[in-house]
Amino acid sequence: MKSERWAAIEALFHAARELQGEDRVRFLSKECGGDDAMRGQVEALLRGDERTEGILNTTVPRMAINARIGPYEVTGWIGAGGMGEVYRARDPRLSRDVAIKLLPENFAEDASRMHRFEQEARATGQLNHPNILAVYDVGLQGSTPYIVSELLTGQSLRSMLNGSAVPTRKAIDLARQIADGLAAAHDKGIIHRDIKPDNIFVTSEGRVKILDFGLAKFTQPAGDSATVKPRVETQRGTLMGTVTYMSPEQVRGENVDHRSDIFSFGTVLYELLTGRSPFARATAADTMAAILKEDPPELTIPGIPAALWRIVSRCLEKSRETRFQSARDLGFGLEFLSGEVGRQGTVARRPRLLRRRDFLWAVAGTLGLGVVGTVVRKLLTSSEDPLKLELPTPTLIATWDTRAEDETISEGEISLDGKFVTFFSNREGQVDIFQIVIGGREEPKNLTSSFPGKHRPSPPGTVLRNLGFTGDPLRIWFSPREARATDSSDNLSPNTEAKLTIPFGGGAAMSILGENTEAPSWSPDNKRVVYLKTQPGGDNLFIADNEGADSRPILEDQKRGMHNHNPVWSPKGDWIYFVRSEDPSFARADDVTVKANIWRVRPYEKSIPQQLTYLNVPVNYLAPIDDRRVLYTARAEDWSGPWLWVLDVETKNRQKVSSVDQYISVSASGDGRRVVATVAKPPTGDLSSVPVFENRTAKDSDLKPFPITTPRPHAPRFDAQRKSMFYLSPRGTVDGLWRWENGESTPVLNEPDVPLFEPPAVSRSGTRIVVVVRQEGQRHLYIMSADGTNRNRLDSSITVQGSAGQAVADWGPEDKWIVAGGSDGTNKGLFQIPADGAGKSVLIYSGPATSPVVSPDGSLIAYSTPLVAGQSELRFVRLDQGPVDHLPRVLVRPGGYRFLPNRNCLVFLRIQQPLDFWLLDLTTGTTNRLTELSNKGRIQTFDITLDDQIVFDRTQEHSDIYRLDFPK
Amino acid sequence: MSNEKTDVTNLLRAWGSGDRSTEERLWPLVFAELKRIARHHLANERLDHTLQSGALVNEVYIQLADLHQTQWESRSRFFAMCARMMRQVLVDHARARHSQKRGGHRLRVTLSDNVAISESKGVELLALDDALKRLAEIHPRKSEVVEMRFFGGLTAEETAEVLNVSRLTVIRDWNFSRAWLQAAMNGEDVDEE
Repeated sequence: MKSERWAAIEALFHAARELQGEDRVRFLSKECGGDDAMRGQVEALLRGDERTEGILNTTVPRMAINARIGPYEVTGWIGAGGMGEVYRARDPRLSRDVAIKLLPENFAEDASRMHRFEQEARATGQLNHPNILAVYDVGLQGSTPYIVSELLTGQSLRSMLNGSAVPTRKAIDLARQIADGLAAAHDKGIIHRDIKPDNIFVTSEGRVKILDFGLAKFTQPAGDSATVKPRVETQRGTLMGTVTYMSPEQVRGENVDHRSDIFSFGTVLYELLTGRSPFARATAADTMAAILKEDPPELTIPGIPAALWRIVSRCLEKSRETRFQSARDLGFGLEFLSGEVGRQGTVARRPRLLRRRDFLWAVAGTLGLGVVGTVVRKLLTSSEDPLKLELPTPTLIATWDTRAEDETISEGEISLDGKFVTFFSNREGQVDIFQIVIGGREEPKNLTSSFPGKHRPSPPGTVLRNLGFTGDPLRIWFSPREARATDSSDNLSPNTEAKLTIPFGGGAAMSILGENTEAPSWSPDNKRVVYLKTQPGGDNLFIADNEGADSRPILEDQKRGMHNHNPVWSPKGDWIYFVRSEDPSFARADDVTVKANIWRVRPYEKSIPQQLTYLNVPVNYLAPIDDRRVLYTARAEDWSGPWLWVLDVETKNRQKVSSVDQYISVSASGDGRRVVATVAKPPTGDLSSVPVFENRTAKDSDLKPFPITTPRPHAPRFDAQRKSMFYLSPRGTVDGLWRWENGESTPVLNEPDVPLFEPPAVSRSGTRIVVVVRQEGQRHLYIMSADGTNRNRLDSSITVQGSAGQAVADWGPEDKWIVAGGSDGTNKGLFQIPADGAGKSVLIYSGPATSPVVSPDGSLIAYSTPLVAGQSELRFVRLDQGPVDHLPRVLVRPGGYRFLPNRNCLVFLRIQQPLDFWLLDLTTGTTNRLTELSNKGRIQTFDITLDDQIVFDRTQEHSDIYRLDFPK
Repeated sequence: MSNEKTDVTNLLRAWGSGDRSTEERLWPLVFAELKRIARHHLANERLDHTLQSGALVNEVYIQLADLHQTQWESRSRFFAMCARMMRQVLVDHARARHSQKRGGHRLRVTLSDNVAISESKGVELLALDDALKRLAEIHPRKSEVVEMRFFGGLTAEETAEVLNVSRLTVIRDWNFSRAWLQAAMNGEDVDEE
């Protein structure tokens, strides 16, 4: 064949491909003239083009395995359909497998269409019905939109049918589920527009999932014109729509409503029962004619009840006025029928060999289908291992459009009735309390934006809850914060305020429960409240009526330093679970070495508590989900996490149920069926420097990025000459220690089983480093050379105290000794530890003290009191003369202070927002503010160069709130 | 293996920077690795082996090239080369299996349905290979487009880059080739006057 002729055929093919039906025929007649051979070739090609089966149609993935689609990692290729390709992928943030549909490349050409599509996809995402594919997320990969949804196992109705009918009873069951899903969507005003066997998925458990809700709209030309274009091309030439299941009004190109879906549903039900679709003809044009004019061939298959046939015909009425007017009615009809078919005793015709499944069907025959589900579930659950908890797929709540980049959401709490959620978020700058109605528009409303100082919410804590629902789902309680500007340091008084409650929806706050009370929790029947009272000896549990009156102690610890935190009720209200921790030296310290455990107690006076776990790690939030199981958040023994765990309170066994995610908090509804969790994404951050000015405060414009190329550098520490800097940076899954010198970073210590959390202590000469290593719930000091070799335990009698992530030790002059806050088993305080291992450690200050830093000349040591109730105070001690009292008392971030190298001054980070650097002149005792920075992340550690540049880290934490619905 | 990996990485780097003299040493190594990986997957009855061939090529790439050490611009060209080899590997496999089946291994009946599926896929693959050869005679570039996209898993952009044509051309070529191949495999007369 000549090449010109080839070119002509190809051109005709491409042009004809864009046309449909009559238009195409006319085009070919005109262009080919009498050249039948040419026309034959083009038509053969067009037939080839329309084949959707076969090897070439299931191929050409656009994404490679391991590639990323947005944040998702592609792990497999599921297939291609009309609406794009489907991949199996992993959401690393939630460590769950998802399905991602990558839409055709030309889908998003039109920005407004893309916008509408996103809106629609989000609306669909909120449908939340068991018979509708759950959509988690939509996004853009380059310019190609993708949809993230739950990953299903099973098959499409198309492949299930495969040209043959399914048994009547099964057909009715499937149809009923489809109708249920449709009804739920129609209720929300969402129409599918492309109901067909390819878009209906049947999971391996037999559950119907309707796919691609609302998508079809976007595959059709914008604006409903009179021209029907049922077939839309992808660039890969797959067929996106099929006319076979279209309603008459769709064929006519009219506007459609939900009754169009009912017609399409009718064609699917017909096909389920007969194995063929009612209007399928040889060509699209004939099919369309049949849809408009012909009655479906009558169902003549024996065993199909007349009532079922009536249902099918009513769906397939040409006029939408005479069809079923709602999917709900249709569902009722089918439900009624399913009982009928069951009773007709088709069971008798089943094979003799009754397998388990058949047995169940036989039961179905006698009981009616509806009951079977319950029976089966009962059978399954009773034999199930309680720890084999299948975590329901988390659904992102509050997927509002303007989600802030570095938003931190914490303490997500759900109401007893499971309908309302409240949480802390910094999305509007400062921490505020937000509310959401589940299943509504899920638009968060700020409840505290207008609250003045005294009534502002306390920042969220991971030790004690600061926020929750009262027994009245329309009232929220929270811990207020009292700010009093008493002096230049804006002193904060300890948080002894009574709890406040505010109405859901916003309004004036009311006081409840009196002073020194914490973490109240209302019983599922809203008759009682349990809470803790902080008292000198520790925290004790009290119970009162739901208004807080008639208060009685249920757990009083005689032992000092026992803390009983975050009590919650069991779903039946017969137990109270709580976290109990012991730390004799610090009142309510969020010390990492606190050993916390889950206990429970009966809600009566003087009942005996039961210990349920034996852990060496902090446990934070508890959420009982049934009589036996409690979900909780805690770190693992290797200090990874925090994870979500499940505890079987009968066997006291526990099991980690999350794998990658950092679960910050968890809360369950009264019946335990709905759980709300806040989940952290990996933090981001950088190092910056800012000069210490003599005469003015530094602003954002004075900031310079510190040139480090490893990811999220933090916890910087220089040697005395400022030649090398040591810092932490993630390598793999944990933070490793790095050295930065002459503009280059080299790893010093990077062992996955030695995760580092605290800033290193760098000796003055920069040749030796002290790091903190976690072992069996304790933290120990290790000393090593600057290249990570010669690692040895430093004074094995001493364990370290202080909050996680905060500096614990510092070096004295000439690399001779280290000072650290900790305990030697007898005493707690500051220890001076000889670096060479010779000689004994000396207790230089006895009392609660953390994070010492040593002045350049080695004579003065600054330290902070342990973080208690959000407060930590800067103190000083002279090596030879003991405590220094003449300096002002300022509140600091634990560990957030360093001496200026050349002046008798100390730079410190104030504890309260906004986070800024201040200067304390040690000669005069005056303080002044050094910086006025916009708040972009949390500053944890800093150090100062010889030319008075503060080098500091900033960490942005991101977290989201999810809900998890356990099946009933 | 790690030495070999370094070898390949160096060869790839040289090749990527235009040193074609490395090919003689490079491709046998790549081909061996490709066969190894493909055999592994085929032996494990990764059913839709043709579907996954792009993924396999990707795996080869990951296996061979030390990604951290390779600032390598010619990923697409490497994939294009692998696509050809992958076609070879898969076709050989299908052919071997096909003849084995016809050679009368009666035990086949005991195998699962899945194997049957993959066998029918194998037959289809042979048909495709055949049709592709015919297409190559008429329009070599179009057959290359199919080869790269189908066997190599290259995207339209990557294919365009390798063939030095526009992305739109690749898409048009693909649409046409797909129609042509499907017609041809369906027994239509599309390559003769």
